Amino acid sequence: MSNSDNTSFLPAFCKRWQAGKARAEALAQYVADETGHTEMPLSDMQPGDFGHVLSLCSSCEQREHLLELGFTPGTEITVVRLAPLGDPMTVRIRGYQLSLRRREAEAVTMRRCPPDFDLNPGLDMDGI
Amino acid sequence: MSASSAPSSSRPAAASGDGGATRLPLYALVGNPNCGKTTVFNALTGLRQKVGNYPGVTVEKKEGRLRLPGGGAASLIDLPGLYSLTPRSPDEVIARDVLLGHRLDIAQPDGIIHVVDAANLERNLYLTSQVLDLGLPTVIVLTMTDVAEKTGHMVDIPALEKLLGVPIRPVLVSKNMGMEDLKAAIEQLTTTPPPPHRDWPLPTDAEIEVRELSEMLQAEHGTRPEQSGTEAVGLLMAESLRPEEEGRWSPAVLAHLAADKAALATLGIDFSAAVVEARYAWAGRVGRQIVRKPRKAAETLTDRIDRVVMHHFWGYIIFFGVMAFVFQTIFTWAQIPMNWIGSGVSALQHLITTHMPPGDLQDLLVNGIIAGVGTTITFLPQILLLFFAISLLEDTGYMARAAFLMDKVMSKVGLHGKSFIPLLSSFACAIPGIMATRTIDDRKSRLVTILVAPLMSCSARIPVYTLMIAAFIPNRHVLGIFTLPGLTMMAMYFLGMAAAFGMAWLFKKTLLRGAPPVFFLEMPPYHAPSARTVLMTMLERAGLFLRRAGTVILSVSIVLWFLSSYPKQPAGTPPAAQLAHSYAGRAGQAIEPVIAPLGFDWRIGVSLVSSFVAREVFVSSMGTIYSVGDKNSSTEEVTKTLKDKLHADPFFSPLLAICVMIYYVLAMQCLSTVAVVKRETNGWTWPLFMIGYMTALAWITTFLVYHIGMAMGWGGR
Repeated sequence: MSNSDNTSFLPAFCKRWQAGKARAEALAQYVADETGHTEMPLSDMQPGDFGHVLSLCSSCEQREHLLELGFTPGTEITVVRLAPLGDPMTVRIRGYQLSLRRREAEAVTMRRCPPDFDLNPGLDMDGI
Repeated sequence: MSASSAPSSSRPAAASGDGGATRLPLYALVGNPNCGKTTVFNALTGLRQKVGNYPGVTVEKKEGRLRLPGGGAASLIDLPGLYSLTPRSPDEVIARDVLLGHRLDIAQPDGIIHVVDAANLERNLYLTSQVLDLGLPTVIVLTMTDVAEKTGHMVDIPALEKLLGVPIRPVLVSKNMGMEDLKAAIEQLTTTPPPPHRDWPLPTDAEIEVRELSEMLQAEHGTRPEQSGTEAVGLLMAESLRPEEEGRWSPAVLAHLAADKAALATLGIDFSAAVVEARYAWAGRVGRQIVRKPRKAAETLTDRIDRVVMHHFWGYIIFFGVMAFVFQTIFTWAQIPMNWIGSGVSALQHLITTHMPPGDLQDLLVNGIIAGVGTTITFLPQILLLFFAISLLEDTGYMARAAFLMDKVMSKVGLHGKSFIPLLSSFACAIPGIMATRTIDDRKSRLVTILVAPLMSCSARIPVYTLMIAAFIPNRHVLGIFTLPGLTMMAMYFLGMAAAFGMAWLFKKTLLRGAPPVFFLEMPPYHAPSARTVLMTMLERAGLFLRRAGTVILSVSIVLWFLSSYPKQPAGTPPAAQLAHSYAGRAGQAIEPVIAPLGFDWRIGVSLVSSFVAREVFVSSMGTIYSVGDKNSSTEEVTKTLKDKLHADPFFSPLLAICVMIYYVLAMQCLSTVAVVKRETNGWTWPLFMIGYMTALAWITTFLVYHIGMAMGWGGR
């Protein structure tokens, strides 16, 4: 049975390598503002990145579905991982983990926080 | 034309499925996927459940009976797991229509049992806000409180009860905690007041439109005041109405609706987005008030497991290990009980042959009924074991990870990550494979997976391959380590896979075209599987197979027995002549002109016709024609001598043997599969289409191979 996948794995790995290079170039175009936040599509965020939903594309097919899954403006999202073949991706949103394809993630425009950003300052007193 | 519900007292006592004098109260079980809803349903109903389909769609309908502590009973309907009641998928359409009382086959439920995952409260509350809006008496079942506590999330249940205005009962089924309290609360549902009015305000202009429309619905259709708000919001959110909805409302309402939508558009209000945002804002508020969580989310066990299981290298090693285990289970281990069943069936046949005078009745009993029942139950071990494995994978949470890992590969042919396991299972047998497609929620992807699953070489093809290879493929070494027979066998498997992926790609491009399936999949936290859920799934699937597919398989087996036994030849006719002159034999000869271009003659034709019950019948049928044993002989016995007879027959050549094998790789020679596809797709369209396209594919491919082979001069021996 592993035979069946060798046929599609090898080209997939090569493609991923090329796609990786292309993405590095694409990432270079996003520039952080003076607060260190960067506006970019969710699909280009990397594992460990986090930020807030800025907007959803206005007329894409999955707009309402994404909204209903919780991608409303202002929602905090953390990218958990990319699948080993580069797609789909898993994000943490509203306390649960959701996988979606990068194609759909493109519709979500994010405001990525700088890595040392504190998401909930002052909210720590009532824990445990 | 009013189809909206009347007050609950005068609701029709329809379709609750129990013809008692007084109708039992009907409650609907609603909840997110992965929230423990199935576990709660099983714990409430035990074995008193019934699984079927909603008419005309492939959505599964699960009903059960619940005994209440006071001695009464209630009917329970388990709605599909949902994230939202916005009618997007068929599941959501059905759930919404059932809950609003718009279905003719089910009365509007008298109350709702809403299952909520405490460890995932905010996301679950989004559905809760929609459930409460329905204005039906509701009890909330809070599951996974132990998981929530482990991650430091403390849910203040009394505060939540006060905020939502409905009773809340925490339940831990695995520890048998809270079930009695829950049953008591369900018993009181008949007197529980409906939840208070919704608590998530919309922008003023939108709010006015909702109020106007709901008042109009109350006036025009007599919609219950508690329900009219939900109907109004639903109508305003819908981009376009489904035809059955158009017919549900009066022209005045529809005109008003169109005007409202236009007004909202001019005001620049995106109504749907406003509703969703208002609901999530409410869920966030409630969550902040009643859940105390640690400041920094600690790394959970799930995170730690995922770091290994989703690793770029180890992830695939584990994945292939798990898949090898699943495959091993159904391919090899299922053989053991299958052999027991096989020998049991032949022992029974032998018993009857020795103790009953020969004649038509004996023949019908032995070769019609018992053989048919035998065929049906032979599939049971594979179905039970596959669903054991699948429900184990689903229940632990690994299934979502497997789909995540395979999605990219499957998306190349337009399929979904979840199509992988059904296709893999089809190597053992397409029947459990096709039954496993129910986990794919995208309808088109599911259909495509069903349509191509029978192209994967199943174990019933092995006898055909073995016979043809043993007779015609010389046992020669290739490149030192490989042998020609082994390579031929592998080539057949590859041909099947290539055909399956090629056809999947083609179907997604043409017939079942559509946007690539959306892949939104929750990665649930891992948890220990529940033995009860696993067992119930196995029993449920086995029962469904026996009732729905088993009956078809049995009756068709009897018909085919009749066709190959009648008209009777005078006693003493050799079995070969008897078969040749039977209806099946005549059919085989009649189709000779059709199969002659493939190089096949009437003898292969007869075997093709009779092996339509199951592919391995090809071997015993050829055996009968070549007068090797009779139809009671085992496949192995026949193969041993038949291969020499075939080899000696000048009609056959290695090329022809390859052609027979290719035909069997691609053709739909399995009635049981047809029966299962009929059940799973809820109609005859797709099974008939499947027979058509696979036969065409097999014919064309075999034709090309035969003629190219002949032209190249490979037709010799």
